[in-house]
Amino acid sequence: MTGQRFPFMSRREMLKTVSGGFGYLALAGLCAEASADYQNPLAPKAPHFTPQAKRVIYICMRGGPSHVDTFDYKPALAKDDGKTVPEAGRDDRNRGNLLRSPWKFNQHGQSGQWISEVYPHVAQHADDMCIINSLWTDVPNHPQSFLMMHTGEFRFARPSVGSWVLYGLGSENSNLPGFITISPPVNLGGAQNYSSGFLPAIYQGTSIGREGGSVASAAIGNIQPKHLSPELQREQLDMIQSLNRDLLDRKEVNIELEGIIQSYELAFRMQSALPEVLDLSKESASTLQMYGINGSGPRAAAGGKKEGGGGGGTDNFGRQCLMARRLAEAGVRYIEICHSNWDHHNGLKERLGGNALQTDQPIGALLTDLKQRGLLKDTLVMWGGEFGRTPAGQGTNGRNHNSAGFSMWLAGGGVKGGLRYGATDEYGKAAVANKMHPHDLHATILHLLGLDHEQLSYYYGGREYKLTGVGGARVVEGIVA
Amino acid sequence: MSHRALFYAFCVCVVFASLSAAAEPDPKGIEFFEKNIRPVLAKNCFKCHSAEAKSPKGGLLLDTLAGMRQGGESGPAVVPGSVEDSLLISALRHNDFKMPPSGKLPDNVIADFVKWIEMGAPDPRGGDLADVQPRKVDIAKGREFWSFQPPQQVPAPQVIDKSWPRDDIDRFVLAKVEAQGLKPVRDADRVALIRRVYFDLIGLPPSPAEVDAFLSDNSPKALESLIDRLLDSPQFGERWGRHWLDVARFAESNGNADNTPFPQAWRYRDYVIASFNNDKPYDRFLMEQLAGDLLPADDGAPRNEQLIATGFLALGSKPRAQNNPDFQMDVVAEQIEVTTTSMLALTVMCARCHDHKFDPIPTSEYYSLAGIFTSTRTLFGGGGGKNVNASGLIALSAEDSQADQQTKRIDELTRRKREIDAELAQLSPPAKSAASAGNADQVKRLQSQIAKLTAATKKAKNANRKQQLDALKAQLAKLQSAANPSADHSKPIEGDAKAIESNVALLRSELAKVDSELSSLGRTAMASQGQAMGVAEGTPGDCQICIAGESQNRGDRVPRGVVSVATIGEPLAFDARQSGRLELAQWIARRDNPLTARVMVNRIWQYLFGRGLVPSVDNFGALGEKPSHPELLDHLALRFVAEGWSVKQMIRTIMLTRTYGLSSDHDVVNYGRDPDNVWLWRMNPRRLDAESFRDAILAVTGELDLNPPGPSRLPQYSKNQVPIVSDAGKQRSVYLPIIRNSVPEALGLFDFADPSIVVGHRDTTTVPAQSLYLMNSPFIVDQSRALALRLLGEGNMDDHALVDLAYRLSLVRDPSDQQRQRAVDFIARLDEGLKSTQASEDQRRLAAWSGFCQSLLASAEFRYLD
Repeated sequence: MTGQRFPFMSRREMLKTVSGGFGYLALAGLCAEASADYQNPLAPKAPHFTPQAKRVIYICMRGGPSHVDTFDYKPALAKDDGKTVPEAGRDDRNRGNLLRSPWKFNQHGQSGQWISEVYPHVAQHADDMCIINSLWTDVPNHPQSFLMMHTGEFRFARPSVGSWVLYGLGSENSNLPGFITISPPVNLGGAQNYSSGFLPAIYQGTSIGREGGSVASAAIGNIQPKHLSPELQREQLDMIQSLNRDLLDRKEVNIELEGIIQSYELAFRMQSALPEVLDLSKESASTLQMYGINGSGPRAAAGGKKEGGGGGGTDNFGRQCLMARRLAEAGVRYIEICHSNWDHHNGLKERLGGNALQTDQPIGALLTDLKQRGLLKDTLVMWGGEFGRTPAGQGTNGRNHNSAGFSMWLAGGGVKGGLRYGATDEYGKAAVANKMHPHDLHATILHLLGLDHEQLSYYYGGREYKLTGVGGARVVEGIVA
Repeated sequence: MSHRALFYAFCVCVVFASLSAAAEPDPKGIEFFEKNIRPVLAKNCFKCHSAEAKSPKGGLLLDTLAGMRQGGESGPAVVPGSVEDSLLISALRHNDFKMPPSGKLPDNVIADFVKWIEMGAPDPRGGDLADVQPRKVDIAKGREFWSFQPPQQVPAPQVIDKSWPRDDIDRFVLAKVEAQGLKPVRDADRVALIRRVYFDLIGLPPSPAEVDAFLSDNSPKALESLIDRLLDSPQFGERWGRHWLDVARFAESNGNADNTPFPQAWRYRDYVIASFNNDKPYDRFLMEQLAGDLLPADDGAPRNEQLIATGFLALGSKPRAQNNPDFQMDVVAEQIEVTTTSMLALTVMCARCHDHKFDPIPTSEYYSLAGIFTSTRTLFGGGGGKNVNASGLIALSAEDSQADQQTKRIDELTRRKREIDAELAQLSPPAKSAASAGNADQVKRLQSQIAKLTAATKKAKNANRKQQLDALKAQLAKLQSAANPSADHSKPIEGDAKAIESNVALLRSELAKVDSELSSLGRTAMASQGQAMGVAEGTPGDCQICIAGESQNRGDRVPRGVVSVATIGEPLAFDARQSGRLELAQWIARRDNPLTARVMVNRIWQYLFGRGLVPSVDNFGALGEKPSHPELLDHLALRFVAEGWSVKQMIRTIMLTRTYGLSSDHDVVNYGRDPDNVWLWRMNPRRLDAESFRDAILAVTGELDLNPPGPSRLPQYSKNQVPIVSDAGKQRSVYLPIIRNSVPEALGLFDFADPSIVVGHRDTTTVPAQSLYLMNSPFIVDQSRALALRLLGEGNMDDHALVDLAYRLSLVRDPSDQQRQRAVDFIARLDEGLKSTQASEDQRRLAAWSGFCQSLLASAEFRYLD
């Protein structure tokens, strides 16, 4: 090939999309990699400042888990069981009689964090956990709040948190997608919860399986050739690439075309890399046992519903957690796993108990495993749903939606361990101290990842958009180590 | 107060504070300030409220005395001596505002501030106030901005190379090229040109016969007649209608939280396609979409058409209404967004919560527009579960006179179809699997049409319907016999194979048109008594401003109106007894609207060159980009209006320019000076969009069915079980069902416009998932096999000739000798490699050729447009 190649175009393009002062750093990063003209938009990018977390694992509890039965200890609720809820406020859902938690809370670790007995394995990590009791969100309905938690907006289609993170930081493993979501729900906004919205499509989440399905048999679209053996497909790919290179020679300069050529090679590698990273068969028996896979964990109590697939035991969610660790280890930037359904309007004792049983050992194992591999310090783990539930009973064994106050916990990735942050009122009706909106949570996640939520923006439809909107989100410094 | 509201509270109540003359500060007071106040301010407040802050929150600066006394948008932060009037104290106490937001300061610190204010707020600092003057929207000044100025008629500039331009457009372009010290590259060769013209106009590749015909046409009018022929083909509307569907955020489901199906949305899609095919004047096209129900129309089809057009306003993605007091205003916001962005390239929606920060659009004007839509009923159907917002639909009507005409036309077309079929049977080799599969599809469709018509006939006892039914039955009988050929097919007639091929191509293309019209007529007959999404007049009334965008916090009532900065001449008078949509539509479609024509010619330019003269095609405001060729943009806009807002004429004019006909060759010198090709020294190399790519595959494999599919192919589903829409099927991609958040893979992977938002410009991304799709997806594998079957069905051709044919079909060119040899070798190697898995020689040959065909379809060249 003759003629000099000019790499300017791709960088120019890059600068156009990565704005807000961040472009310069991105450019510097690109210039460092002078070997290839084509710049993979997923290549790792420098954050705005030194990050404490490099990746995120979001353990999504779909349906709104009850905070007063898990991570928000309310002795007054037990004391005043059956009394009428005082000052119910505008939301009817909080009217009625207080319902004590059927579970005991105990203190754990050096920090003495109060955690419900439904989560014994998780509780062992109390000193690594930052339990936030003061979350609140806008609307006590699943779809709006689920979208709010995942995209920071429910009125309009906007990019998901994972897409923003990937856009801001790129991916550390070029053979794998940078944002993977396992068993996402098809409703509650469906793919909007992991879509890239107006960001380039390359930043969208790759989904594996669907909510409620068995993750062991989940298929990934187009990942395996069915019509040709790997050897023959390689031959075919060489043929395709020779056509592509002919065209490139003819065009002399075409950055996009180089991108296509690279992307074919990446796809070819991904065909083996992705199934490999999701293949749990090479994990040791003790690891599988730790996560409760292959029937090694407890079964749900009789009467508990079989939720989340996997027959009511820990197997299905154990697999999700182990996959999450393997993906984190492989350098995937943003990983979400999902368990459902936590919408306990009735059957609280049996169903929440069953859900906790399905998730407790796997999550405990994930934290242990990340820690022993030295990954917890730069992996931000988050647990929580779209909102919480009312301290008032719905019937005698259920709780209604509560967007005024709920809990999540974070661990690793630069958060203060052993910390309880914020508080609800004495019964858990509403957040009252250090209130934290999902926008604040998002700002804080970005902060931990080394990104300034005010700077991470994208120009669409005539203005710069941010994940955290225009409502003055704040980084919650109080939970940052 | 919600989180959002808290912020806007700062932004909305603009109060001007008067500065009282500062008294001489006493040293003790200053000491108190330096010790107890300044450090606290610096530590807790300056990050957001100082000159250092990127944009001071609420316009409040606390790092100067003046800033503090004047305060922000909510009023003075500090009123010396008056703790009660000092918003700073109220904020520190977390009464009205909660500052600092991260948590209340200790009580003793707040007590210091109280004491300090009681002392008269002694403060030694100086500082200028200029930066904190609240901004007021200045519309007169705003009108000076280029896009709000009327387009200017400027004579075409002088150019050095006088022989180069063909049209004034070329003169405007060449003048810039020359001024930049660039030189246009050579003209595109005719093969590149025909391929470009085909894809740009109809989104399909030319067949080898069509390429040959063009190459052998030496008339100076060859290009012109090619363009005219394609502009007249029904495929034109399918391509250009799709462009409009991108900005109209067309979809067949709601998306968002409750993804309920919109089973009537297809009518709007077909309306858009038909409008482009009929070259409906663009001003009229816009007016129908905003106010079709308010325009005079004959009963029957014409009225139906105008009602369907208003689907534009009803198709938006809506949030759940339950527990959302803002629901109505959210729907209105979306309507304002889609209207102003698609038609005017203005982002008016920013003014919902505060005066537009960058464009001269005050909040009051947003609510003037909102009043138009709150006076309108939006009928989008929906529903399908508790808690899900639902509304009615528009009832359409059909008239007998129209049915008469339809029946007549159906008879006519059926007759012609029979003739063509007979001719084709004479010319064509024995029915190939593809053809019979096509027939089978058609048989199925006809059967279902007949079933529906029979039901309708029984109900209506309509004589016209019966005739129609008979015609369709006859057609069915004909097709069924074709699908099961029992008679021996005689050998193809001897003669010039090429002549036959081109004759067959012509007949097929006519047949496609006949089929297409037949099917759309049948569909209209069936569906014309149905329902459509759209809007209707509601209770007319002006809207109250929602302070900070909160529906429950209402301010002044503002009269209905439009965006005054974009209004030239007299302001509009609104009829208080109507919604105002008619006036809105008239204002947008006015010849002197400075934006409407410019925005559309810029969109057309972008679809033909890959980049708009204003690259931010959806934003002609202050944050948008400036036009690279302002005089050319105005020239095009004025020409567009003068030529009756004809989209086809505008496209034709641009396509016949020398500029459009340039090659996409690289040039080192030009590239060094203008790598983005802003000055148009060459044609931009472009990638096919998702629909053209999928349709081109179907076209070259011979599988494409050009018949529109009839009423929606949207699968039935419940809102919680959103299906994955297959990309299989042989109709054009524009007819694939578009479910929000579940777009067919073949579209979604290749940068299809997100159907929940206005998309005037699609990204071009390169993602490994695209490569995986091309390597492994069932659609590509099946289509590669279909292409192999087509090739191997050609009969007496050796492998070299077959490779040539494969290249000509897919890449519209012959391979080089080296490429030909490489292909033949590759096929042989595949054949060899398949020996272990494919038993029969025929199967192996088919698999090997399929593998080669897949390489062609998967190659970048197939997706590239020179």
